[in-house]
Amino acid sequence: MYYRRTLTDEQINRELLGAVFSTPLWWVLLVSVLGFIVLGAASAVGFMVDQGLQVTGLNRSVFWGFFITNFVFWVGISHAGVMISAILRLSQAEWRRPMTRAAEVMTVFSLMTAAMMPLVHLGRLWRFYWFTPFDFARGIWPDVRSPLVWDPMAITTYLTGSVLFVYTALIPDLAVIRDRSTGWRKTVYGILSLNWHGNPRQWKLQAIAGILLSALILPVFVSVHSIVSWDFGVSLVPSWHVTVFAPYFVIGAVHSGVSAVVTLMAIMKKLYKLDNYIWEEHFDAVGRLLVVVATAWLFFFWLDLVFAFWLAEEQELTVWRLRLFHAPWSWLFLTFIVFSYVIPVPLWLSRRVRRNLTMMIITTLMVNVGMWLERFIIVVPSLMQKGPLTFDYAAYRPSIVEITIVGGTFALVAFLILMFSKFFPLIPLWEAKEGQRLGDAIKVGAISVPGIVKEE
Amino acid sequence: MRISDPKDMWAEGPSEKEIVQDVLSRYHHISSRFLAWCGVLGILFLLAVVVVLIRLSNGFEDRSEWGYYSATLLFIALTFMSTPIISAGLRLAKGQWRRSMTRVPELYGVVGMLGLLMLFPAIAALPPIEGRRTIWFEWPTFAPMGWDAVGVLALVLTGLAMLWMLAIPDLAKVRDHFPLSGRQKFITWLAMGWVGSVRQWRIHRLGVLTLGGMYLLLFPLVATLLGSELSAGLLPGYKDAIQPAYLIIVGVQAGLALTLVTMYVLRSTGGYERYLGVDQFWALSKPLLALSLLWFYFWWSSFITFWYGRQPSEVNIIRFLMFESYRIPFLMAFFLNFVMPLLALMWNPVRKSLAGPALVSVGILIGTLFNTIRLVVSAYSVPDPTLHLLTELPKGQVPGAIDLLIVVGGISGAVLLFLIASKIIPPFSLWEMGEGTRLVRVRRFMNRTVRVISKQN
Repeated sequence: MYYRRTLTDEQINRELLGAVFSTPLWWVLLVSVLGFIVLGAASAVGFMVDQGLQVTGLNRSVFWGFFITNFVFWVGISHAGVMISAILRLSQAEWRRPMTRAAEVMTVFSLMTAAMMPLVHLGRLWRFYWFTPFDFARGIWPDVRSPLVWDPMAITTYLTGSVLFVYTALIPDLAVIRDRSTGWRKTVYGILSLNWHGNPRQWKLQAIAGILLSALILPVFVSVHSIVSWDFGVSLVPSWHVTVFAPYFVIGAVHSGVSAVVTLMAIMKKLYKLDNYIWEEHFDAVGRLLVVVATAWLFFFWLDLVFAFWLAEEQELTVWRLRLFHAPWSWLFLTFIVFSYVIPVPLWLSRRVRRNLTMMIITTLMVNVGMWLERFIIVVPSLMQKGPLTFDYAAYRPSIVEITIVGGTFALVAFLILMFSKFFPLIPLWEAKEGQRLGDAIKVGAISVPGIVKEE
Repeated sequence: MRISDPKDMWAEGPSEKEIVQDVLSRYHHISSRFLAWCGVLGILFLLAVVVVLIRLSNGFEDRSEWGYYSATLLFIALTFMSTPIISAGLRLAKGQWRRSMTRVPELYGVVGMLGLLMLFPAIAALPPIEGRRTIWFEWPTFAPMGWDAVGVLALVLTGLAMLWMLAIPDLAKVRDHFPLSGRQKFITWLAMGWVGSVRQWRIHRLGVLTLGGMYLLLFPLVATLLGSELSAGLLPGYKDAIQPAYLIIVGVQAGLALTLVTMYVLRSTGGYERYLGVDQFWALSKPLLALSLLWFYFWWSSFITFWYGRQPSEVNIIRFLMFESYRIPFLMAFFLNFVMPLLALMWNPVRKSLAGPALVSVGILIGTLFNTIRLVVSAYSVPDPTLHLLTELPKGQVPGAIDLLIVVGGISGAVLLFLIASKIIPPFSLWEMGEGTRLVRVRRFMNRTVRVISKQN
């Protein structure tokens, strides 16, 4: 339970809409730099489209590399939004308030980025519609039983749901911006805010929509990364054909996604001076959650590892030997496990670390470096061996084109979040105000214990 | 004062003193009905013990004879021994409504002692680990019996320590409340001189946190051990990495169901309706629904991988455990653990009732029993677990009268232990309920009445 800061509605409006109504120099500089990187990545995609996939490090046996790793990574990051927002909203956790919007926005932008990766990986982008049941000239229909076809369906559904989720929660804030804007901005925000005036009926509908979307999006949230895992799991590639992949991928996604939200919150707090809204207590609470999530993830990782040796199949063992004992994979493996769990989790057990902004930024960034490597280690070594029916086999080294494109995706997500913050508040105004109204205290003996109002 | 309305229990309900008086008087009184139930359960348990002893004298030549016994062990381990997790989890989540029901799942921790005793014959019936799949791989020293016993023992001791630690303040209340008798002497000893000093509370809090955390870590380990020993390791070609996690979900779902059924019985026969109201049933039915969905998700994750893989070993396992030999137990489990809870609990009026969650819970418990039978009896009926592939599917093993006696007797023994424990340790956490009365107030907020709920850090 948190010791509340008393803020007036006017102060909340002024502080949280500051970024919308003014443009600081750092914002312009940062957006320019990120935009430049994104342009570089886009040029790399153009070059690759022109030259073909030969400019990548992909080859006959290693047909999935950096792009698919990055796809899995960004799908994972996108799980933060629902985890934080829907689950915490349904469970009425008070500490969710300042972080829901940032988490939801991160979901939308990372999912958009993830969806781009398979398209880039196609090489021939213009043939993306081949996954749809479209009767094109070849007369070959996509196999609807394939998870590769389910993927676009699931991602599209999740993206639609996430956009609705963000939008529903944005409406009251859009009305506030509308009422403080003039000219074309007033018109645009007026249209977007759907004539919101904050009457009881509108609040009731907004609350119901929020709860319904929270409940409905949860199965989609689980299904998306499960389907991504089945892209691997239902194949017979050694070390991919594992039953635990679906929950292992989902919990890993939550681990990396929540870590990314912490990084984002900490950076937001610094850049936008949100000290009145994002407190040490919020990092403390999410740090505890991360300990639980990370430990659950470790359990699934352990199951994957132990059962790899269960039947002692030579092909499976070969992949694991490569991952564990052969450089550079062994180094990457060590880095992954140390960064994802060994360093951050023991540190998060300390309340002082959980409440230290710099430490939380460092540890959560480490987690995501580790989790990116995890996906890389899952994807590539399994394909780098000679199977019973493969005629070619080769090693994989990412090309500069792949590295540029993948690097560009990180800049793209940051760029989009910064652009969003220019037009919409990153902390929900109405949630902040609701938190103020619902905060209370109870006297127990000589101490006043903070409490929260709940309706009878 | 509307003490019959459980919703208002914390804010407008009885004071801490009244709660203590009421709960302790019911706890202290041993009714003839209670004794009759203990007698019936005791007889059933003793009969099962006799049957098991006779089977023991026959040795372990025919492993399939021990299938139902081992299935009962897995059922008890998953259902009864998972319950302290619920208590630890709810305490971590700090829900106000939990205060009057956390002791029920904690009390089931005592059943671990029965589980530990039952472990030895089940493991002794296993074939040697050489040549077959086992979680111990190339490490046969003391495996499997020694390490399994250590794992289960650690879980049982942690469960008992957690129960005792959490109950110390209440045991002190019992000590101070009733005149000295034989039972009282034992309780006084258990209360360890508790006077409620600041230092004692600090140690208590630390102990509860540590033991709760330990239990949360140990239960998955034990579920992995038992699942691999009693089921996966005996089924040739069965490689299912999700099975331990699936068993944890099965266990926590069944543990929650057991808690709900026990709460319903305590409410309707024990006179505790003022503490176990719709609030508690409503709140618990939500995770029960979530666990039912997870039950399906974990099963499906395994099934779809096998189904698409179409490896001969995988196809045979699916046929054996789901579609041919053990089709009926599988369908029963699928219906009772997933379909029925989903169809019933998706409706808020059902969740927000007393009978709805309780009835669904009874179904879940029956489904879990079928599920453990499917997983364990099937495994014990395979003649040669050293094969790489299940070439011939053994027929489904229908229980005989002796098997039924073992199953019923084992479960009776578990319930009997709970009943006995509930007369040593109060079935309600008095200190937590007292805390609850201090941390809730009813206030006017705008034009309506609201509750202000506080949570400690």
